[in-house]
Amino acid sequence: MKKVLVAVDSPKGSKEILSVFRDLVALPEDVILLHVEQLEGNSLMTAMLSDAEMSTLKESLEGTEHKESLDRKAENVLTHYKRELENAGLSGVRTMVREGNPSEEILRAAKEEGADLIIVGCSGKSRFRRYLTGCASSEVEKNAKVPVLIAKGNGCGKHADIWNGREAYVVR
Amino acid sequence: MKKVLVAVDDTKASESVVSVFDNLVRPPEEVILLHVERLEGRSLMIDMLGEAELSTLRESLKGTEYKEELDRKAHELLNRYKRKFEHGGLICVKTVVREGIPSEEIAKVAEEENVELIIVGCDGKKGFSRLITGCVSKAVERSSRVPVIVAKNSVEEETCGLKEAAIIP
Repeated sequence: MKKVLVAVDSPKGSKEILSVFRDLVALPEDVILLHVEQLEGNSLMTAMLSDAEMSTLKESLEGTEHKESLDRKAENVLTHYKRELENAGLSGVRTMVREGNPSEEILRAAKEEGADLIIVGCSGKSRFRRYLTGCASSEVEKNAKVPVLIAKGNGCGKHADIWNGREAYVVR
Repeated sequence: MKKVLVAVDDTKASESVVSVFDNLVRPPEEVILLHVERLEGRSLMIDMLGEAELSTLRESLKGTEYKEELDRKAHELLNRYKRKFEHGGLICVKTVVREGIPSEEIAKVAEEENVELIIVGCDGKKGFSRLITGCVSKAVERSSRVPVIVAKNSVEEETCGLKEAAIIP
């Protein structure tokens, strides 16, 4: 495998990502670590913004404290993962920060870089929250042109037993 | 990697699972090749059936021509994929047939067999039909406790744009 894109959100999922590289996938030549800054926080809003509105939002945030703290978080997360991956023996790890809608930015970056595989974490959101705020991993899975690996932590799938197979109700 | 579960159906999308073994994942010691028979065809109905209803449906289909046809197709399909995998150098391939709701059965078998990874094809449903009938790969991704790879056909055309989310609200 040549190139893999790994989208990371918080340092929490690093154990899962590492075990994916240790046990499951073939060793890639290049790893691109991507963090997407969600400019508006965790609200519903981001999915409803058009490109023009998003770029206005981007401009108006430039230089603010909020943006600085986002940048700091991005750097922390990316350095953390880079170090962990390099400790695990991977070379050719590159980091990348984007702003905007996570799933769209992940797909865009994967396309631009010509990645062979996309790896995303699972957010572990409950059904209801997922329905409201959407889930980057399922949007990526749906629209990607290359295979997508969804890494799992212990908290994932914990809502499955209650809801399994019943989702059709919720959606309508 | 020790054990991986690969779920296939008769759609073209399933064929993409084969290419995942070409260069993406490490060769596993054992492959569990699973096909889930959908007793009710491709209707909406199955998601609304409870366990009891589903088992009644199962009982009433037992021995019918319809069920025999499903079994025949399942074995044909699994043998075809088994050959493909073996051709690609994977020796230990075990086939499993289940009945019921695909995403649930996939999750169940994954747990029973204690696999490390699940591989499914993206069933390529778009927009409306995905919203109404759900998508197996998405449901698996959601309920699974182990990592899931959603394989993709490289020839998939542009119809699934980024803006599809706009349909949902």
